[in-house]
This record gives sequence, structure tokens and C-alpha cells, in this order.
Amino acid sequence: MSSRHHLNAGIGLRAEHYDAVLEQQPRVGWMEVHSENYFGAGGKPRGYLDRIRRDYPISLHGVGLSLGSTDELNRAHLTKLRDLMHRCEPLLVSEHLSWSSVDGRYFNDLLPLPYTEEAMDHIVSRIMQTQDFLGRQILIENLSSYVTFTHSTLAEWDFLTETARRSGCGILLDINNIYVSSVNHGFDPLRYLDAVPAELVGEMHLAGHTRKTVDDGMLIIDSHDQPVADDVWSLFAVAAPKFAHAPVLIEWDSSLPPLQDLVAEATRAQHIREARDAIPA
Amino acid sequence: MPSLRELQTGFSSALRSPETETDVPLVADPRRINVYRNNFRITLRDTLGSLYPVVRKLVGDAFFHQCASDFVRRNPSRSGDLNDYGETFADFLSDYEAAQSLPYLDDVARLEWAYQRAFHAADAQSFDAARLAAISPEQYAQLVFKLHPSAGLVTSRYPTLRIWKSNQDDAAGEDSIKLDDGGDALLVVRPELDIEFIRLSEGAFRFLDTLMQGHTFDVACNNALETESHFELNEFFGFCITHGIIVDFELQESLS
Amino acid sequence: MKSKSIMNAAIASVVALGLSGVATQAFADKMDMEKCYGVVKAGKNDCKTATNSCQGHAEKDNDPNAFIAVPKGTCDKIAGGSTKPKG
Repeated sequence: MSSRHHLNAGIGLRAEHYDAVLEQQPRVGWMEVHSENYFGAGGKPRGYLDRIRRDYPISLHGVGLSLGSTDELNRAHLTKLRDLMHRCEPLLVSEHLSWSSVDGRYFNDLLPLPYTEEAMDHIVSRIMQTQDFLGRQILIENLSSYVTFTHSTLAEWDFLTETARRSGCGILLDINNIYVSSVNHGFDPLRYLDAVPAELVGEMHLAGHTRKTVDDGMLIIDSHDQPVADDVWSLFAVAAPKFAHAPVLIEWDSSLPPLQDLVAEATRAQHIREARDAIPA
Repeated sequence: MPSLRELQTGFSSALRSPETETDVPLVADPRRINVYRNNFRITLRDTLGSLYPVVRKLVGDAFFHQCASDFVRRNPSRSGDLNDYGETFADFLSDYEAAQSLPYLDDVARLEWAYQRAFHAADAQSFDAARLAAISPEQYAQLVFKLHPSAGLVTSRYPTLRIWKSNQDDAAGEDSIKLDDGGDALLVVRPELDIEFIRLSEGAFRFLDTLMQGHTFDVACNNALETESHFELNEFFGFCITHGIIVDFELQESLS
Repeated sequence: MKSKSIMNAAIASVVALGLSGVATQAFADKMDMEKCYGVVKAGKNDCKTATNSCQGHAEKDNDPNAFIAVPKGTCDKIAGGSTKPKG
């Protein structure tokens, strides 16, 4: 998709900003929505999305498919996603390297998988079923996580990369999530960036997080409620040249700032990209 | 080594367990499982808070927090889309011991759920009067009119709509509402993009309720007139058509 | 059937009207309606973790025997009515 090479940084589109987006027509390259917020059959969410997608390429980012669950793949959920996809012709469709339900009970959260061969076989087959059903490639995003499993045999970056290779999906590399997990679990985030092949990455995310002091030290929470942290900008500056063709997006989900602040974050991401472009080869 | 299935069911029961169990098998740093344990409860409780803002305002944050927590414990989410969560909150409130002093509370919740339903319901084309004109009067008894997909009916012994309205952020604010002021029979509908609440007479309510159950126009008219002998069918039906409440019709196969 | 003529008249007038709505406007004006203009509800699904999920302890479910909060909000402004009859 050659147009992707020239896509400026994008922003997550949230309901609170619908009218501001229509009025201000911010200079961002694209917008991403959480798919499930548009699963309703009609009304304002769909109405606004229909209008905004006339002006901006749209990406659908799912949070509820529960790809890693050992329950049956949720056909009703997939069907709604496919219907939405047909309606808004997204540039990209993505989900998470996670599970969120078991025995039909949903936690509506992104829960981590153990990084084992068994879990990989499982999620690879589920991603392939999803791609067959949707008739297109999807991207899978790495998580922020707070626990690890004692019987994991693979590093997350190897698990993610191998899952993408075997299933044919792409990777949505969330730079903030790499940073958050690297601090929470004590690994080197640069090693993560090194291990992921550039050609597998179809999108990047940036978001704000929160540092918390807990009993046994510090924990970072993936809170999406503030500007991107300096450490994450630094990590992005390293990632940007390697994943030069992957469009980048600013996510912000609670304590939303005015639209201009979000656009300013996207502009900053864009400048980091262009600084790299300015360096003669 | 436990299977992925076993890990997930074990993790699930650890998340649901009320007390901090530090002994979660396979988790390297079990105390941190509290983040997940807390997050899903907060998420579901916040979902209820955003669905039921008027209930929340009526009872205050502390009470709402307690009662939403109780609801979450007894009613797991069954969908990966949070818009599907919380439909039964009204029924839960009607049995909730600590809310018995507020007998109208569950009706307010029912109205708020009808709002949520209407907000996400499908859009509809406007009524095609020319198609109706082509139907011969002998077939009128077989007409089955379809309401807008967003339409929902709510009844209450209490002035629920006034309570709802006086608890909106932009409300002028009635100083006080007397519960004995009379009940409400309401239609919640979204003819285009904005949601409307329409107060109905007894006959109008029965008319729409009958149509909603899929009965013929014939049956709906009879029911409405039986409930309210002076029901202004002509005007109300015209209003429903022009206002986008009735959006379509089909002919019921005659039983021959 | 008594309602038949009323029913036919109702349909006839809708057919005659087309959808101009002129004749029903007077009736519509009599209807008691509230319209919620411009309200856009925030999307419920997202992929953040709640900031307050990170506490040193688990959120405790309420102990049914513990202190029970009393409704303390705008319900103070609503007066009268009897306690709901228990089913």
C-alpha cells in the first residue's frame, strides 16, 4: 500500500472530539477507532464515523475479540466486526496479543498469555481463522502487562514475531507498551526493537502511562490519560528509522485533552520521523 | 505443565476471588495480579456509571459504588463489547435491599437503558406513503406496521421523566418532585440522531405496545380504543408516520 | 367492528396527506416531548488500564454484613410516595 509511506501521524478518534474534528479538520494523517464502539447498528457513533471517514483514512482497533482465549472464537463478535469493516473500509484492522474471556465470562481487559509453544499454536490458528473470516490481514498488538508466567519459554518479542510469521498477520508495535512492560518485568526495550523484523510491522502506537509506587517497588500502568512520556519518545526515536513505513498513532483514552493537544502529540511524532528523513543516506 | 485452558480458568477464578490470594499458580509476581483483579471491576462499574448517570446522581457516588460493585460481582460480562453490559441493572435495583426507600429507582434505570438501546439502534428509512396508497382497503386488516428500531416503551407509577430531566447536567432543576404527582407512560425513540422521550396517553401506549408485539393494525386499533374510548387514533397514527415512529409495514399472510 | 371505520379513516388520511405532515402538526404540537439535542455518549470500549487499578491491595467486594451506605444524592429532592410494596 504505497499511500502508507506518506501517511502523517494519526490520532485515536474519541466521541468527545467528534464535533471538534469536523469543525477544525486537524492536519493529521489518519484516525483510529475502537471497533466495538461502532458495533451498534446505527445512530450517532456510526453517523459521525461515516462523516469523518470521508476526510480521513480510518483504522479499526479491536479490544474485545479475545483472540487468545481457549473458548470458541466468538462468531457474533467477528460478524459485527466484518459488517463494520464493510461499512467503513478501514486502512488497517488490528487486535491484541491477549485473551479476555474464558467459559463465556469476559473481563473486558487485555490479559497476558504465557509465552509457550502451546499458546502460540493456539493464537496462530485463531488469527488465521479471523483473517479467513474477515478476508484480510490483521495486525496484532503487543500488550502492557503486569504479570508474567513462570512456565513461559519464549521472550515476548520472539513469541510475537513468530506468531506473525506463522499466521501471516502483521504487527502493531506499541512503543509505550514495550516501555511499560520492560520496566514492569525488567527487560531491555532496545532488545525488543532489535528482535522485531521491520517488514512485519504495519503500525505503531504511542500513549501516556502512569508510574505508581507499590509494595515491592514501582509499577507502570498503561493509563492512556496523559502525554507520551519522555522515555517513550526516546524509544520511539530509535524505532522510527527502523519501522519507517509503519504509520504511527497517538492513543489517549481518559482525562481527554482538547483536540489540539492530541494533534500536537501527533505532530511531535511526525517531526521525529522527519528528522530521520532529513539525515542524508 | 498445565494446559492453556487450565491456566485461563485458574487466572479467571483468581480474578474473581474476593480476597487477595497471593498463591496464584504459574504467576511469577502474584501480588501484581491485583491490577487485573481491580481493573475489570473498575471497568464494569464505570460502565454502569456511564450507562446510569441519573441513578448515580440520585443515590450519590458512595452508594452507587457499593451497589454497582454488588451488581458486578453477581453479573459477569458476557460480551467483548461493553455496550452489551448492564441491561439487568434495573431488575437488580428493584430487589436491592438498601434501595427500597427509593421505589422509583429501578424505573429510572429502565428509562436509562431504553436510552442506551435507542442510542445504538439501527437507523431507518422514512415511511413510504406511496406504497401504502397502493394497498386496497380490503387488506387494511392485514397491515402490520413496523416501529423505528430504536423505539422502546417504559411505564412507571412515578413521574420518572421529570426525575430524569431534573437530573440532567443542564437541567434548570426542579426544587422538589412529589412522587404522588402521577405516573408516566413513555416512548423512547430516535427518529434521526437525537433521542426523544414522548409522553403517551393510555390508548397511545397500548397502540404502540400492540404494534411492537407484531400484531396487525386492526388488533392495535381495537386494543387502543378498548383502553381509551376517546383515543384520537387518526391524529396519533398520522403523528407516528410523519414523526418517524412508524417507518414501514408489511401485509400479514391471510389465514386461508 | 366499530374500529374498522376509524382504522380506514386513519389510513386514508395518511395516504391523502402523503408525508406533508401539515394536518398532523397541530397534533404534534400537543404532544408532550423531550428531545435530547446534541448528546454524544463517550465510547465504552478502550484498551487502557484504569490508573486506580494499581493499589497495594485488591478491591474488596462488599461484605454483606458490613456497613451499608445510604443513598445520599439528589434523591433528597424527591418527596412522598410509599415504599415499594414487596412482591
